[in-house]
Amino acid sequence: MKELIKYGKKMVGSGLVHSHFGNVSKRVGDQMLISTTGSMLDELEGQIITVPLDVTSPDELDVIASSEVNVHRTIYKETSALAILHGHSTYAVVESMLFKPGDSIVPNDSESVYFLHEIPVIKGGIGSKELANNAAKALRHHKGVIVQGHGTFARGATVDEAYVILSSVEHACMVKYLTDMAVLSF
Amino acid sequence: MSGWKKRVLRIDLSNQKIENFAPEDSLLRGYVGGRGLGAKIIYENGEVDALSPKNLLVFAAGPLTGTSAPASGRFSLSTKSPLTGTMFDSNCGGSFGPSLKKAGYDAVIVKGKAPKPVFIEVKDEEVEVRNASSLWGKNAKGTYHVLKEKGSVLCIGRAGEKRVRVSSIMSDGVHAFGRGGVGAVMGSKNLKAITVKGSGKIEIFDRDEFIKQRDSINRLLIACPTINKGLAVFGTPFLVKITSWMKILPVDNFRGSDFDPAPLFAKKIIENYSPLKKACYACPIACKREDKKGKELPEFETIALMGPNIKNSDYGAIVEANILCNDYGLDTISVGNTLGAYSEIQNRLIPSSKLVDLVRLIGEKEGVGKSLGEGAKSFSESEGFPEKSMQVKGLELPGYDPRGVKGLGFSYATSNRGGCHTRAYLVAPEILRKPKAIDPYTFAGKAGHAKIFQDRFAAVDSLVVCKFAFFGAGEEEYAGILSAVTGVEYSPDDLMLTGERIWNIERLYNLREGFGRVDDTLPGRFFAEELDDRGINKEEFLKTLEEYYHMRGWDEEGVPSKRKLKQLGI
Repeated sequence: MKELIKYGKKMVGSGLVHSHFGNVSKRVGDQMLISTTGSMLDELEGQIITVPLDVTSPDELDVIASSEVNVHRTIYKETSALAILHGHSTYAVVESMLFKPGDSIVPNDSESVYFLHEIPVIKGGIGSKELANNAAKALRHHKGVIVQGHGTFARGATVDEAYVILSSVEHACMVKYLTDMAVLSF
Repeated sequence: MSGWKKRVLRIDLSNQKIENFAPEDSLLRGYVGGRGLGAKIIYENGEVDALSPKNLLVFAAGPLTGTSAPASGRFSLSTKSPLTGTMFDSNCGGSFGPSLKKAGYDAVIVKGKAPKPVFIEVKDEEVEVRNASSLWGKNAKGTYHVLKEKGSVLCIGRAGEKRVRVSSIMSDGVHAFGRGGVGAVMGSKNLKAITVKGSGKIEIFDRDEFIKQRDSINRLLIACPTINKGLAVFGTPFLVKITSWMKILPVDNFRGSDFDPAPLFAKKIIENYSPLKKACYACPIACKREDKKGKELPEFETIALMGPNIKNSDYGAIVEANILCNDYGLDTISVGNTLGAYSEIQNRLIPSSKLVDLVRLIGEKEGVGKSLGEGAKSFSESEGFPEKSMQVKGLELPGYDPRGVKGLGFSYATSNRGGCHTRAYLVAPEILRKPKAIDPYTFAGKAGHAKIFQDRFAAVDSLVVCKFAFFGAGEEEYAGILSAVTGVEYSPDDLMLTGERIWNIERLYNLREGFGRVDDTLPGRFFAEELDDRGINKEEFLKTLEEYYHMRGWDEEGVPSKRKLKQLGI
């Protein structure tokens, strides 16, 4: 729980997201710790709840869990993820709108190419089954995806790794956007 | 003006005089219906004793009642409460409201006292006061089974007959005008039941716009997580786990937290009972639950007050007590809360096996049940421990500890009908985070939240629409559908102003009855004792009360200013 609180603060502090624009979770056996709906990422003390991982067994606390709770569940079910961070990072959202769902953004900075290879762009409404399935499918083979016009889902074996991926996706999109702008202005 | 029937039925039981009158258009526009219409009529009836023939029972539908507007099947009752002495309104599901409208009436006003037990039978234009001697002595379910062929049935059980001050009025056997001892008012009039059968239709001004608005609201309700992940899946008991997680579930008469409520969690109930869903008229939410044999299962409040509040984790005992309360016509919140005070004063826990026996004693007004049935305030005072009653203005508190939900607690204190969660329904933003999460642990901003939500739900109670619809929809949508039904253009602001008008007229009534600033408070326990490191700072509370009065345009004693009343057209 402390890790999620720490990295929630870091997500906001580093400018990756504004307070309300994202959610965080961590898998613990057949349970999941997840931030509550409407909570601020930099003030998550007392705002993390525990719900079961099983998508087919709804829980009462789902009502106050992040509206993406079933997206997190599906990703845990379909991938080896142990932690997921989701944030509406600015450049990732902007870049995703320059691509079509099904496309992948290919970073042009060396570190992102090395870590991410490519970043799939997917579609799906907030908290929807479509989003859950598309995100889980893409995250089987990638560590980060961007939901078009919405934000990044990053997975990791630890919360720290998911944070690195979330940061990398934003960095890659920023570099790509600025490079493309620079090319256009010449 | 469509939607309204523009006809009110008035029955004086003392002389069996039955008449109709047409309410003025301005009254309907300004107070809408339901609680608003009731408040205006009760206010103008003047000062009366709650159990005297002069007290009125105003059963009122709203302009949306009987249409397919989402969650509009509820109807309202206004009267003076014998439990609190305040103006009191209550609203209830079931089919009675729509049937009343289809019979051609916006409201029924009952006054006087019949010399012998009677029931009122309404069948469109035909209205009769009939002998109920053979029904007197029956409980609610028995009465319902005898009368159900006559249409929708409102009735009291034995508790109402005996004027138990925590008695309720039952609709169609399982829905309740639960709070405030309204069953005793009906009993005091020798009125056992009202049946209504209607064959008319509700006129809608602009049907195309109505369908557009209705479908839009239905989409919002279906998409709302509180509904689609909570109420529609579990019914109201989903709140047991959430309030437990927040540490606001009342334990041991609001004294402790060392209680494991897990056996009472909704998921466990589903596993053990496989409940069936039941819906009120025109409701897409379907929050009521019954077991496979058709027995009603308890709501969250009942579980909270008859469970943790008396340190009882025996769900089966709560089910049986709930059924018996409904049969006698007893308010499960007041009964559970009062039993918490009883347990504390006796300094011993109530065995779950004794729960049903105690309910029976209250319903029969026998033994210790006689004083318990007077409610927590009166009971605790009679035992010499007034500080052990967890109530505001005589109305027992519901299932949320105010130390952990400060806005909700503040709304208990300022509620016109006493310790009630539904007047402002800050359960939505402070607990369920809808329409927007607000911090439950602070008083900051809560004066404004209380005012806005109190006004909002006074208007909602006048439409009459279920509060649960407002998890997903808002004033904008319901102002739209109200305009489409009535042909009167209502903006969201108009609805809020209507709510404020109703709130102020209720306040004026209570001031006339002797209530004032000193009554806008909480039980001393919440100021004096911390629980889980949470308490309520008295100075902070009083500062919030000052802010609240200021925002309402009231003076420092909580009296509405002339300017405010003029602005509201009172």
